[in-house]
Amino acid sequence: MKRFSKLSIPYLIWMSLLVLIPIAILIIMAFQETKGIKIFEGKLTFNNFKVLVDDYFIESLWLSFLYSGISTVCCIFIAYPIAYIIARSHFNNRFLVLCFLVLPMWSNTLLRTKAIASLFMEGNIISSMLAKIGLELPTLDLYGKPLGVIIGMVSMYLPFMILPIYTVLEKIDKSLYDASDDLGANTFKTFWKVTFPLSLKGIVTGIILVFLPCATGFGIAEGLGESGLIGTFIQQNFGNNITYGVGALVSIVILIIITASLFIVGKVDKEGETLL
Amino acid sequence: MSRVKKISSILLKVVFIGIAVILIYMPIVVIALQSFNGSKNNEIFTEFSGKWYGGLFYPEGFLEGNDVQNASDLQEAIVNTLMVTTLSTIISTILGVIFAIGIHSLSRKKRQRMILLNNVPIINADIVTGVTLMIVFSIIFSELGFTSLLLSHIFFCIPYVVLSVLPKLSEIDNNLYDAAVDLGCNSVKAIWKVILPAIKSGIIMGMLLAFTMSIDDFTISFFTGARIFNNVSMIVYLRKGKALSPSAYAYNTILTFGILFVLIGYNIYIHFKNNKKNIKNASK
Repeated sequence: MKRFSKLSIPYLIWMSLLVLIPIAILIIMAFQETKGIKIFEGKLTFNNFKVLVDDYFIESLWLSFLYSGISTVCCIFIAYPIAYIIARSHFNNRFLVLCFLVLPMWSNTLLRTKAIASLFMEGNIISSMLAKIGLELPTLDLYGKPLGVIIGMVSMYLPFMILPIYTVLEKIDKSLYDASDDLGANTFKTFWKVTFPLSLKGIVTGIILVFLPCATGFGIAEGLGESGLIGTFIQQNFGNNITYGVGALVSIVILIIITASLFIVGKVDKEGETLL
Repeated sequence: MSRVKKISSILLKVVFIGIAVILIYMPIVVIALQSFNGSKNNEIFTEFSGKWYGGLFYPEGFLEGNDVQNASDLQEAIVNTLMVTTLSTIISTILGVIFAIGIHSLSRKKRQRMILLNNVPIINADIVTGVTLMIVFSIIFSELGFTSLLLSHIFFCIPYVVLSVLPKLSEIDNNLYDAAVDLGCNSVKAIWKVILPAIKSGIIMGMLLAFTMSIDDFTISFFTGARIFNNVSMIVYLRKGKALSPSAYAYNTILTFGILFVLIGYNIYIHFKNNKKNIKNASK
């Protein structure tokens, strides 16, 4: 099989072209004030760096991390028991579980976000239908409120947390449980000393799959009525054609955070097993 | 005591699964209900109606006034989306399998490095991927559009194919390939006849993932050409309130449940095929 190693060379070139070179351009752009993408015409300037001490920027970064952090923690606490229940139950059919978790992803994310947002507003389809049969629902006035945004984010990203945790839990050798049982550990101790440490890998992957898109995306947050997050900030800077440098700089800040998480993934999961 | 314990544990399970199902499926139910709503106002349910489904295929025949234009804009976006998704799924599956075979053949250290590089688009924030791709494509192409959109989709789909094929490759006995070559296959034929059948389930999985990621993408498309070559997500993002044709809900419902039925059908087919095989083997 060794002779096929050449087949990976085009991939290396393709990835370098589309991953490494643009990052270099991004760094150059951060030091320039240009209209659009004209990296060879701009002059060296540090003006863009003013944004890093700008209150609006700091607030949106902080807010993004706060929302995302809380949503991620909620996801872990909901996803872990579910993954555990499924992995230990008789219904442990990998195909069905995958279908259950992936089905929502075939539904357009923005449409789903709009649907959730509509539930948080005064008139919505569910309350209207229930009103027809005489049931009055209290209005959930959560649109644009922190709680609403967090519920929306958890709803969108929960499958991405369940999936990796379920994957690692399912792979644990069942005889380990028997061994732990034979050696006198009770259910709780078995969980704490055997299951939990072995599933940490899945939790780390889940955190990265949930936290990063939550913190940096703009479609979902905007759909839920929150447009003060860092994703919207970047989008606006790339949208009006004169502040590309600022957008580039903020993207680099995000990129640094992501590189750190890439290394974490590289450490805990060398062959990329839990990412799927 | 043990009975109380058992009941409470079942109750706890039901509560947790219930929370998950409601959180994950509520939006899909809402979309499905909206797709059958007679009014285009989502706040009020008037009567059950299939006109938005009709409007999806033939706007002039089922809808009136502004709705016709809105629905035909949506139609165009749906065609665009399906085109990009189909092409990117096929191309990225083929390329992904080739690259995965290449990566699998590397030495351990190089392989781990390639996998790290491969994971970049998966872990990287969509917005950063979108921005960086936009930069490259606006240097290469005079204007963003279909080609840049397709290339960006291929870019973020390949890693998923690679990741689903690699584990299957490492399950294969390396001698299998050598045996095929010894028996007179050339290397292409050996891959075609021996390796590909062995990694088939990984390829299907990767293809499904690529399709899933591509059809639903918004953030990357937003930067790499969807503003010119509108896709469904873009239409949903841009059109606030009633300007969005409710046919979008119909499209979404058909897509979601269509794929589900295809998958369940495929699984049943596989199940019966295996059963038949087992019966045959047993009778021998």
